[in-house]
Amino acid sequence: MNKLILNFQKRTNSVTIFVYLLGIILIALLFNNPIISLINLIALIFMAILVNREKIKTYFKFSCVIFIVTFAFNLILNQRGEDVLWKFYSFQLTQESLLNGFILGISFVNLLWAFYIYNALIRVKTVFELLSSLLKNVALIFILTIQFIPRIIQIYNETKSIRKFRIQNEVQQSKLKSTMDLMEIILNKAVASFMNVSDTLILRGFNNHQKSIGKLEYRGADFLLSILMVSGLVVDIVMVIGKVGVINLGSIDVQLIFTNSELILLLINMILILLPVIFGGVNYLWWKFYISKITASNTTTVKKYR
Amino acid sequence: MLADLAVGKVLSGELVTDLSLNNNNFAYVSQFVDNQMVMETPRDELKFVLDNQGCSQNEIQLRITEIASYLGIIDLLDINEKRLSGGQKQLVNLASALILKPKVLLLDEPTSQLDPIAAEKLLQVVHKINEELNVTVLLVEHEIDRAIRYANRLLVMEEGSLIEDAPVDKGLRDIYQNPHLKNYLTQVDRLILELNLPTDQQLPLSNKEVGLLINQHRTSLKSVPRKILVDTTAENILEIKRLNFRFDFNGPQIINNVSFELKRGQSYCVIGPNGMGKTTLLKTMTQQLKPQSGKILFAGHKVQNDFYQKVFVLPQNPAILFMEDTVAEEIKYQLQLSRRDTTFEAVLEKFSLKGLEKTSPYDLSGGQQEFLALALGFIKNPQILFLDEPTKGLDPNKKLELGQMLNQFQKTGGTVFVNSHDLLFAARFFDQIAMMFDGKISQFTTPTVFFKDKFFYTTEINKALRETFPLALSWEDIKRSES
Repeated sequence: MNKLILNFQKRTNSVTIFVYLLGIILIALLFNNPIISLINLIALIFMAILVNREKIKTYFKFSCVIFIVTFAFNLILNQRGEDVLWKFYSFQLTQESLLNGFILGISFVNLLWAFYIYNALIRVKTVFELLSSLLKNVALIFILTIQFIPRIIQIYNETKSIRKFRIQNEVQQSKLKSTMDLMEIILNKAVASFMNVSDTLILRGFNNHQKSIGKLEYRGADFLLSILMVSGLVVDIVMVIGKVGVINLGSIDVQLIFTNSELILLLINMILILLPVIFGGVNYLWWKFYISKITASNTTTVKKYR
Repeated sequence: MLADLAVGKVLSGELVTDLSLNNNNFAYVSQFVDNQMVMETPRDELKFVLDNQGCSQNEIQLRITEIASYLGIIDLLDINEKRLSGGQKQLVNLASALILKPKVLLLDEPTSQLDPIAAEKLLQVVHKINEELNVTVLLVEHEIDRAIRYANRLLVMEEGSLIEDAPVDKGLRDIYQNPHLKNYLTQVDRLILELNLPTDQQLPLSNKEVGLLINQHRTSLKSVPRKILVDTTAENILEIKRLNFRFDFNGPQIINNVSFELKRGQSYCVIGPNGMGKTTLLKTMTQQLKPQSGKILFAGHKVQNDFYQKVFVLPQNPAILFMEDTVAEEIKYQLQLSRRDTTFEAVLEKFSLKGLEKTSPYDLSGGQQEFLALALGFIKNPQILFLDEPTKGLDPNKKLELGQMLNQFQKTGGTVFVNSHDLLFAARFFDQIAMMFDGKISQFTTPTVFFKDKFFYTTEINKALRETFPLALSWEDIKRSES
């Protein structure tokens, strides 16, 4: 994780992080103007690289596949439009369907990247602190799911590679049957692992807790960031109601509009998405300034002019 | 609290205690190192426990500071759980158990998944807790070598009954009289009792005490090291040439230019602490991971699809191998696939699985799972048997059985390749031993050659008797002179 993002994560509490994550998911969901969506996508990918570089290549490939599939499906399903670019029997490719497909693909991919950031920044502690006082069961399901999914993936990979040493080549099975069998085995194994997590929760006293838990400490930065995020989102919602940044998706007369309002919206969204980097950057500069004030340098030049 | 963990009912009897049965009085640490952390960092984990008790922020802060300083885990507090070693995770689990200031600490095989050094460190911490904080510790173990030095009382359970409850010295002398339990004794105690050497010292004896005692009687004793015949003319079954593997582009070299050969009918053991690349080496050799460079030749040829039919891998977690709902179905399935003439009953008998036919493989104990997985491997009758930490979860008797089975398999022409941090097991049952550290592997040599010049990383008998009998590795290597 980039040091600026790490700074954001360390200096803010669970609520602030959650508001930020909710914000970027909303931004990815609300707007479908292709220019805004495209710029949002760039900002989201930039943030994704900063929050977790390890899985970026795989996720990038995955999001490309999703984009292509969404785009292609939309071309097949939605052939409306007047500017026909290509015709093959009953299939026609129009400028509008191309644009619709592109918008839908980008919107979908934006949402995926927002969730990538969510996944990298969210911590069990965050959800637990937010939910356990009010929705204990939801928190429990969330904790178990968070533990469960990576474990299922791990079990799947291990089982798949070890299975080869037990099954003989000559045993012919249909691919579907073989996959179904594998899934059954994996679920059996996952349930055993799941029970261990549930035992741990009992040992940690989760089933007994009576009092309100997860008391949060608010600092100035939390108030500032939360206010900024909420205000930005309110502006976003007002703009959406006013049809700014939103186009008539799926219609025949889908048009590209970009006015000053869209530009302002674009800037607000960019700032909101990049808020952790901006916050970390400002903190970093302040830290450098602070250090220069309190540290006496011993370089020759400084000594000479001291 | 603990009652919630148990499946089933108490049929009769009751727990008699002045303490109320809750998390504040009783703390429990299980053997499953990886499944015991719910949160991402140790700090969050400790906070989670205290949050559940409704502690105030101030109290949480104070208690975390206190426990982290006491157990020396301050530096670990903000490290992601994925980056912690097994030993570190178990320390965090211990901290989570102790943070509520319990009166009784219950430990269920806490070192079973740790390497010898991490296990030793953990037990030292437990001993410190017992001595300094006056916390009662009840430790359940199938291998008492390390823990017995710190214990005051020894309790032995067999088939659901408590057959021994005595001070340690008496307990150890009693279990020596029981042929079924003899193997549970530490190697040095067993040696003294087998040789019937007179001593006023209380059991368990230290290596130093045993060294002195043996030295006093050296004239009446002789060293009989295990004879190993290494067939240098045997065909190479697997050749590894300049193998390299790392997980990330700029990550550490987990396997660093490793080359060696495995000969048909020989047994090989790679030892070394956890995290040194032993498992990755095994996974790369068996094509579960693709090396970045290097060559693997199976019977002189490049590895092809039939490789999977000719070898068998028993992973660290044997449960990964299971595919059916019951023990019986697992065995029958493998018998059907391998078309062996062995009968189902013979397999059950040989691998001590009788009476467990209808049990789910996942409900078996660690040792039983290991033996079931091993049964599947032997039914397959592969050319090479790869085992990753096979002694994990096995009691001393089962280890002995496993060693004998591997030797039997070798006699039929099979090759065995094992990763283990069990030095005694390596010394007793393998032809060739090598050590892995930082991605590099040493040359394979016979156990006596390998261990004779080791100072720290060797068997307890070798440590105790290096001055008098440097080639002795287990209690069986010293005998009374017949004259």
